[in-house]
Amino acid sequence: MLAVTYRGPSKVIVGEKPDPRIEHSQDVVLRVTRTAICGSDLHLYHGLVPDTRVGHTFGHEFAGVVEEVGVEVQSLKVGDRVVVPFNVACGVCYYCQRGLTSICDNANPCCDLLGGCFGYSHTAGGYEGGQAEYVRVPYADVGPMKIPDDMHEEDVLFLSDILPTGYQAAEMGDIKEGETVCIFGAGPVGLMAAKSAWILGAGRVIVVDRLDYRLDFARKYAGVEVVNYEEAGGADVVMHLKKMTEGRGPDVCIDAVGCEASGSVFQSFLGKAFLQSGQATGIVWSIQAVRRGGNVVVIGVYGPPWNLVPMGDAMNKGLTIRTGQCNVKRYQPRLLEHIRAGRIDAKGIISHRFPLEEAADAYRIFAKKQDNCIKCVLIPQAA
Amino acid sequence: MTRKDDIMEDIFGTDARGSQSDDRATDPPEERRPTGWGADKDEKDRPGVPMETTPGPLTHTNTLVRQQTSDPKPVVGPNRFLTPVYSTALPTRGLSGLMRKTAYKMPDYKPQRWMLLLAADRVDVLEHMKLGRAVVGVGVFVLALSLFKVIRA
Repeated sequence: MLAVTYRGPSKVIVGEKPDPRIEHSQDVVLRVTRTAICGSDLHLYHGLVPDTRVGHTFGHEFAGVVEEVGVEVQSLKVGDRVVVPFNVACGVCYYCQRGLTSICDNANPCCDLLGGCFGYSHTAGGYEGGQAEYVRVPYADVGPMKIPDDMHEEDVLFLSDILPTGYQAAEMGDIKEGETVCIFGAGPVGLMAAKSAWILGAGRVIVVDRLDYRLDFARKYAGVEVVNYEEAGGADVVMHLKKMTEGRGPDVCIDAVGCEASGSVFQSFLGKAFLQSGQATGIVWSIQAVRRGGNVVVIGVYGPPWNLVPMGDAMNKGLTIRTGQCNVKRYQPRLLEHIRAGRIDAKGIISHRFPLEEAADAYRIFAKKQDNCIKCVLIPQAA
Repeated sequence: MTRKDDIMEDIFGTDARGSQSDDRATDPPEERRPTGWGADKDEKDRPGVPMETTPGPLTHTNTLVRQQTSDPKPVVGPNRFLTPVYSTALPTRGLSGLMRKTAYKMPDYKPQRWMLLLAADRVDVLEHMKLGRAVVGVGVFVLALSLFKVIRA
């Protein structure tokens, strides 16, 4: 089969790989019909995630058709169309039983920090991703959600990651009616967090980024106020946000950027010198901008071992900090309702569609933010 | 106007307080509310609340999970176990594999583990380049020779 394979920092190719097979009685093999490149795939693409092996296939946002079924699978049959959460989760361990499928204990033998993810390095279990013609999906009775007959794969593709992730970010902010929410990062997850903040009853939503085309899109797509932090004076965006919010700062700040944030020379230096894991500018500004006693949510991806963040500020301001990979399964039913009701047009953020064969170009365009790129979807030939 | 308001105005200008007299931002006026505004505003009716649910298997799950047996087996980290399912893709090999196996002997709270894994990733890239393989080979030879000389001395 054809699959995207990692060859080294900033280099992926599309080449032939052996087809996946059923390796466990609860596996299915999917024929991928749609798959997307996530912002967090760029951390892998840039070689920032430890134990990203040459030959690894990325892709944790995908939908497809069931081609083969393991003997113990009860809820799926050949021909079913499904969208798959990025988490590999067993459904029965200590964590899954409490709804925390992102930290499943039965999916990642390599590492104690996180559960299993599709296409996200051996640190996350080494499972091959969905940027391929076929993919193996373990624990098939737990993760995959059947796509309703009247819906297209693209309508629900983002129920695999970015929509639940954005929604969970807003929810972890414990937004109360009328509160002001500030989201750092106008990428796909930031946009979904903005939409979700409105659904949770926010009074104001402000999105911060440095790219005007993304801010323009955020204003039109999510109806938010926008701030270009470069125009606001870099780190002085903190003062700018306080000025916008009666001097206090937003009630909730969400870091939807992760470890490749720009905006701080000092953070960039530490990150590039491998003295910390990437750049934590999004967390730093969130902590500094949020009002005293407010909530900070970190949904952008960071890796081990550490980052420089102002914990003293957080402690003295009495902040609540909530973090975590998304427990996708928990959010899919509600978010499907929102899509059906027209409250969220998830596929409306797709700016580029490429055949799978052109994935290397798609990565380059997405990584360099060229051609006003917001979100890339890859379409395998067999779709 | 209170003293605090005066100070705010000095610092931030006249737009510091906006037009709201209440201490908290208010809902957007109905005509400016985005589609779906407030659909999940009831905090108790949000899908991720409470953060941890009452323990119980998720629907459709098999409570008995058999052990996958296919090869190759992955490297298992300390404080971990061979999980019931695992990936058989891309087993460790070569010098990068040796480095990875060494790294996985360390617990994940040790930064050395992650530095060694990142270094192994770069060696892996070199190993997949023709010229890179030669560089790695020469590097290993020089290292071995140096060690030999140190031991002999």
